[in-house]
Amino acid sequence: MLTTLTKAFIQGDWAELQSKLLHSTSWTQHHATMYGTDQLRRIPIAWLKLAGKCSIEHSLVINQGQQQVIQFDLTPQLPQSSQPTQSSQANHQSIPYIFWLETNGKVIKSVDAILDTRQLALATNHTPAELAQNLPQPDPLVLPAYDQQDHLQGDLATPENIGGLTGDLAHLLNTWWRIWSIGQLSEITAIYAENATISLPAADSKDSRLSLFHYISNQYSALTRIFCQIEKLISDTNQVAIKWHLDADEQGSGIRVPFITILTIEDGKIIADNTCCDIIAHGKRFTNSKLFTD
Amino acid sequence: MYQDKPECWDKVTQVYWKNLPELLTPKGPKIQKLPGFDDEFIDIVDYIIRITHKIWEQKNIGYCHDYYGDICPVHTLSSYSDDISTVVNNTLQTLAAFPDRTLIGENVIWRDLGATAGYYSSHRITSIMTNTGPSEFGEVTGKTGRVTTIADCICYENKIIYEWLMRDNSFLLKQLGLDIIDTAHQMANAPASSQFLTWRAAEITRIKAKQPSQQQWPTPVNSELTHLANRWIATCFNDKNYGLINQLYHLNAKIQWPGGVEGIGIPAIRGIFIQCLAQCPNAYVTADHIAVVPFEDKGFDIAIRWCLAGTFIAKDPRLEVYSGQIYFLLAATHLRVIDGKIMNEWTVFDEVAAYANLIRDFNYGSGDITC
Repeated sequence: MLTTLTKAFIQGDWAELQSKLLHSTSWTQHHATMYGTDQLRRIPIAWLKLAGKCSIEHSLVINQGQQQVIQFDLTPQLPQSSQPTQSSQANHQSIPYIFWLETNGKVIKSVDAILDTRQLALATNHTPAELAQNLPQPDPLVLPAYDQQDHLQGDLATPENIGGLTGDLAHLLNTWWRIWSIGQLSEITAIYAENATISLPAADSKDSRLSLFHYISNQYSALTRIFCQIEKLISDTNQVAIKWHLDADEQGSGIRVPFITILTIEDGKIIADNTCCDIIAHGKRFTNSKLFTD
Repeated sequence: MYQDKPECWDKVTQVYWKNLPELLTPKGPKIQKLPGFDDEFIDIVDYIIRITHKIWEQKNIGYCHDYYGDICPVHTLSSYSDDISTVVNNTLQTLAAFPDRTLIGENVIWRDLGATAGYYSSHRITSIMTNTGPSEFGEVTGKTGRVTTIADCICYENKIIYEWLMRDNSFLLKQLGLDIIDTAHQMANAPASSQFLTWRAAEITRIKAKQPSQQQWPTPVNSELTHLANRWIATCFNDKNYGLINQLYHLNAKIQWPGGVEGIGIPAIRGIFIQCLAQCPNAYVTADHIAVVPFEDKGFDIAIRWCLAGTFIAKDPRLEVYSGQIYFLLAATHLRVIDGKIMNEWTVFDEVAAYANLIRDFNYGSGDITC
């Protein structure tokens, strides 16, 4: 489906994308789930309206069974007069847009997509408020109140038990998961290569292991009752994609942050980590959250 | 592999990967005998998918006369009717209020009830609908909502002759920007029909006595998965041993409950059940019908129609005055079972109607309102 998404989101070829969608295809993006031609057609159109014509700086595809993860790093080709005026390095970075597809190779049953809307805003000179107006209303989902502790019941999803992984890969990914799920920061240097490139939400540049350390410790200090849940995991050769979310209380109010992380592994270590979430949609859904406020 | 497998069980239409044009033009020979059904239908799933499309999306509302029995009891948590004119009326009213309503057939879980009884169908539908006209919920909102419905039907000789209809109206109302409790008060202003009150009272009596539904059929249902369905009812509702949920669900299972409640993973699923039962701690649930079909070549789908009765304990202060009254639910659940455990669950009941019944009971003193 790489060609299909490329045609839709770069060239505006809606018919090509529509030919791959079922009448029952669901598309979840920006904390909203959409169905039907009218709603789904608006997704690439909204992207093209905000980002304009883009070039693909980088793309990758991970396949396993009927799951396919496609990541684009897209750079807007803005007219000279519309170039971002800020000199921040962030404005020249590409915009990550990740699609998690359930597909049988002929049609797409469902899409879970995460667009780095913060980076989109920076790259296209929109304020977060302007961009938020262009996002759909988030679904009025209710975050369930629950006990986030395991109480030695062994009921928690790990990369190993969700992905059916074994051996070194299972150990590596379980260790990675502990960094996020329990804040086991000391593991960062053990599993990330020294020169690993790490992209994190709301980061202004490609990060290092030290930045990851500070990023997670900052999150943990801002939140209570943190619970991380793996939803899906696929692996292909040396790349792994994980769809997961973080539930927590922020100043007494529940928040949920959906993530997709794509890891590239070489010689038993993570050499690239692209962790993406939709910051502006987060702010639209959780209006009091300051988690990603600069 | 599995005993209790009806003929052609694994050949009946599977909707998951099929697009609408393909579903509307089935090719190939008849899969099921379908005695008394029109020749065009190849199996019960095909029948359900195509008559739904014909009536609702192609707007052939008059086809209700072709596909519903002249006498067809229809139970919802807010009403009872048994005449075809009510079916036609309700269809028209809904389409007038939500003219672009789509009915996406997510799944049809069916059961052969035998030559003299027909087929049981549990049809899960996702609707996208824009409120452009006054509705049962109030004035026009202009907003679009997504709603899950499960319609359980008995189909005999080309007609639906009995129906239980469950719609997640509370999630719809939230998307329309309407308040659930205010709407429930408004709905409670209209008195309920005597047939509805009689049926509800009888069901409550039956459930409190822990009696099964009188509507039972002798045709077999996959015994292993029926056992799982009954364990689900027992564990999650009647025994309330939520530590055992890990025996029923995968560690990344996803469940959808009314009102926009969604949970992924064991802790969240436990939390959802606890929050639900906290509103009715002495609830008892009966599994009134179970159907099982294969899901692709990956697992199985289970449809459970169930009822709940117990004492209401308000969590919302605005409902506090109704604490102590009977709380009754007519509900349906679809479970997708992969490798012996639940991977997906969709549970549907009308929360708004449940609250409206409480309010109406209090206002009108309808029958015995306390447990």
